[in-house]
Amino acid sequence: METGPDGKQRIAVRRRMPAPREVVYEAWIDPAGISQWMCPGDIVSAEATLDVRVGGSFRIIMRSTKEVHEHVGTYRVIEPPAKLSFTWSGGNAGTEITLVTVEFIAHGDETELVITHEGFGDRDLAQRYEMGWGTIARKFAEYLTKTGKKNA
Amino acid sequence: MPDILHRVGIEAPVEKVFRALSEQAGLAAWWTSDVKASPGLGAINHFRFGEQGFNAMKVIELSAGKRIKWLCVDGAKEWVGTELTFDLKPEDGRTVVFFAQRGWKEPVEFMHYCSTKWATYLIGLKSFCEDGKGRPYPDDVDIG
Repeated sequence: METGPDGKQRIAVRRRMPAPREVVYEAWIDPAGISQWMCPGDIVSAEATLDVRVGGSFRIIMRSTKEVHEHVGTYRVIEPPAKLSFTWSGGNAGTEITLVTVEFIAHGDETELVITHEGFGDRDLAQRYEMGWGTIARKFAEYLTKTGKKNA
Repeated sequence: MPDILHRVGIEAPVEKVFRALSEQAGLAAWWTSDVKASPGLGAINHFRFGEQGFNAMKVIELSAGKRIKWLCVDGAKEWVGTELTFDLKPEDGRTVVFFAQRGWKEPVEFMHYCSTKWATYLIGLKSFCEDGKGRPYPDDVDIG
């Protein structure tokens, strides 16, 4: 975690994905897949509605056995298959508007995924998000391994 | 740059109308029941409308009993960057509200839709302040 020039916290999560970046990028914006891997903490399913264009909105409803968290945001940058950037608010983030940037860096048949989430006014919240994105990245990698085998 | 403008006269004192426009419980009673808002300058208020979308408004001006001004900082792309003002004018115990959403880039179909929709919500604001019954999302008026 680092503190930006605006005094806000920023976190980053990196993980190697077992697929070429075109595949990883497409999987990232596929609502059917998101329902399986965008499940941090005790979340068991996620329902995503995405309008992937600059200025378009998304809505992701995450469900645990006890609670429902709704997250919303709008796309700021769309550069397939290299980069996506979008605002993020809701759920535990409360009323802050934070910014998520996802980068897809090609390494042959694999991809390094870098998720940067910035604009947190609260350190604890930033730490919780660091853990959350870490879990999401792990589940995303497992999902890609599973779907890759199916398609092979 | 076209603007949406409305005027509505409300049989209620300005203090009451101001609260309905600035506090969470008030906003929830006429605009959307899914709102997170705090009546402070610089606060970012979040308004959600289920599958229909959301918006986030930064409170950029707050003059008790007189004026509330928001800057739309997230939400529908046509809305981001627009400024919304509620100017209150007291008239013998009643209040006249002048509403404006300024800074639309183009008069697109969505602007026509929002203009009608604002009218229904502002009539809801009037009935909430007068009789305690607004028409907030998801109980809002279907304009087709």
